[in-house]
Amino acid sequence: MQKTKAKKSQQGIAVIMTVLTMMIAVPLVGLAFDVGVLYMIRGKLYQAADAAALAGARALGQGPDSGTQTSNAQAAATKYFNANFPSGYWGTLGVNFHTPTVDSTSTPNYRSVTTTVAVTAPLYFLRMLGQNTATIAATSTAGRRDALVMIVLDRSSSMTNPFQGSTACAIMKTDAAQFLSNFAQGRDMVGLVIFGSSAFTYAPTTSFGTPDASGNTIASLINQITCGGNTNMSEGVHQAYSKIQAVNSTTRANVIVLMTDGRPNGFTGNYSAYKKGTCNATPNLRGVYAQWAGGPNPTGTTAGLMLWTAPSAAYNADSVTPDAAGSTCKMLGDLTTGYQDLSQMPPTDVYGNSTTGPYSANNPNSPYNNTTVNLTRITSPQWVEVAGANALDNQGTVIRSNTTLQPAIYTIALEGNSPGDPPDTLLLRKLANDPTMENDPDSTTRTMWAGQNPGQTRGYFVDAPDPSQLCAAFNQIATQIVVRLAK
Amino acid sequence: MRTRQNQGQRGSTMIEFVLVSSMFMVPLLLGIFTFGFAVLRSTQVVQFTRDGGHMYSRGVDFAAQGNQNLLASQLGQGLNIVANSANVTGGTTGYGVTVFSTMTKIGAGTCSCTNAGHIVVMNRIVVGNKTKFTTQYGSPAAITSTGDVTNYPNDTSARADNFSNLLTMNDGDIAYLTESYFSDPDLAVPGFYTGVNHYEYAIF
Repeated sequence: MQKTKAKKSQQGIAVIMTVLTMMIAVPLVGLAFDVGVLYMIRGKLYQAADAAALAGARALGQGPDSGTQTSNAQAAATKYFNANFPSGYWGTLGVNFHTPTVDSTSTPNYRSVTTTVAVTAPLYFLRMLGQNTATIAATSTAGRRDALVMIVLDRSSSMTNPFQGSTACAIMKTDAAQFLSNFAQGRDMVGLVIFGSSAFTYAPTTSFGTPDASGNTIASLINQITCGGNTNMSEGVHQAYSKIQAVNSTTRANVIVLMTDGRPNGFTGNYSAYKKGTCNATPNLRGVYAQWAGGPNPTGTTAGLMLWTAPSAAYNADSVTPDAAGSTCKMLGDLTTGYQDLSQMPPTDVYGNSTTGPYSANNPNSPYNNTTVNLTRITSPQWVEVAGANALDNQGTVIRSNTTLQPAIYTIALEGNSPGDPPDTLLLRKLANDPTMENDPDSTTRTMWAGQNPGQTRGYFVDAPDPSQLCAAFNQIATQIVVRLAK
Repeated sequence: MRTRQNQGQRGSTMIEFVLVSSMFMVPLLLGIFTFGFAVLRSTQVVQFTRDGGHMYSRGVDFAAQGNQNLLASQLGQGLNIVANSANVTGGTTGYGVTVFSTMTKIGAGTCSCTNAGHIVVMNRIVVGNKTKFTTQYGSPAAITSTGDVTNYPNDTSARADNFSNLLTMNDGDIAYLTESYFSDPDLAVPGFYTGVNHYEYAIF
């Protein structure tokens, strides 16, 4: 009797125990499931909030005034949030994306966009405990620094070459004007340098889209460019740098954007005219010597020394004029032997940049041929070009090494426009201190990269294989700049 | 006697419990584990995509081998994504792949080029096992060693107009799309769970 009873009472105990265990296990599993799903949703929500803030910060650059810029930023943030967090993601019910806030006053030359979002996520197992939903919130902030952009454009004569029914010069004008739309009027400062043999400069201003006293805007000035002249690139880049120094803002992102279709073929120096006939040598003639049409060859011509005048004295014409041809001590100044007027290569340009090296000394390509420029009488026009490249390279080093203003240089090489005298892409990459040089298959490029001081600012180099790709090159530069403005 | 009997019965209760509960508990536990691991993997993929995309949108150059290694071995720890050896087109080993694309919409009036008015891929970098997944957003014909699409303003193969399904773009807008695709054969339980594929994207 007793035995049977005991057996009976023990029958089903296993089932009861199982049920009891399940009563504990199932809510635990449910908790794990629900929490797992909540984590998934949270990860995605954070990402969407981040992306929205960043897109909003980028969009702060679009629009003619701060009100439009703010509403563009809010619209972009909302758009990017929705793209990243599809409605109903993992069964989410309500999504409450608050209007992003824009703070433009707390930090000088900096605006931030803050996104805040809350979603209602469904719970599946925790319903048993009376909890039907959970709220997940995320917030994210991204910002945009104001920029100071100096646009440096090449108006040398090769830009007039025809391309597909237009000219490189005309295409450059359209694309450079379009490039301006990436910068925020009223916040960013934009200035302009146009160089041929000499440089025209327009001081950077935040109201770059508003006509000045003369009725000019940056865009209208670009539109008035007529191309013709030499490629005194170190002068152009120096003038841009001096404008950045004049503003002297450490809170802005200081940027130089250089567009060129050729090599630097001269530089501004204090020249000494060669003693000729009964005349004495004339020292310290500030002017520009430039090689014409020689390309990377020891051929070509120069027009003799062109005397220098201050930047912005003239527009759309070279402010340098050939030396007075009628004077008694007339220099040769003609197209084939003008280079012989120089009694000596100036050791530096007028801004103190060495003309002898090191760029030419480290570059095996023609016309540099691993040579240090001789400071003797110039025996071939190409030495002016080599010296011009050295001056530009050294000017670049000075700019990139300014640890206070940290100006970054962005360069665009327009290729295919003057096949006889293509741009020196290595020089332009080095000028930009382009990060891709580090892993370049070409050993000279890697050596040049290794030679840069690691502390120098880094820009970006873009190659436009022909004028139709110039707008893309400007776009890529804009992308790089805007990415770096976002903080 | 009684004690012995009791003892024996107690033991058989345990056996009964194990037998009965195993019918429920073992599949349940297996289910918890596999589901848990799969959710964990999905969460990892979400985070991997988010962080990789964030870096990409901030200008980190994934064409560089060092950055690829960082992505694969640090950020993608446990996901078994293998960095390519110094290329931007992807390798053939590992469980997953991530595809970085920079999209832009070329304004209809801003450019005298073939792709004016279209969304195009400007930059494309594939890290990981490219055989796992091919993005549906544009397949540019030529890509440089830095991931830049050659002649994207004029090359029609660089177009990715279907990207507008994800994001409406205005002229000149830039978007950084990061797509990740991972399978999880390491989580498979034979005869029970063969693994699933995790796809995630992030647009910065």
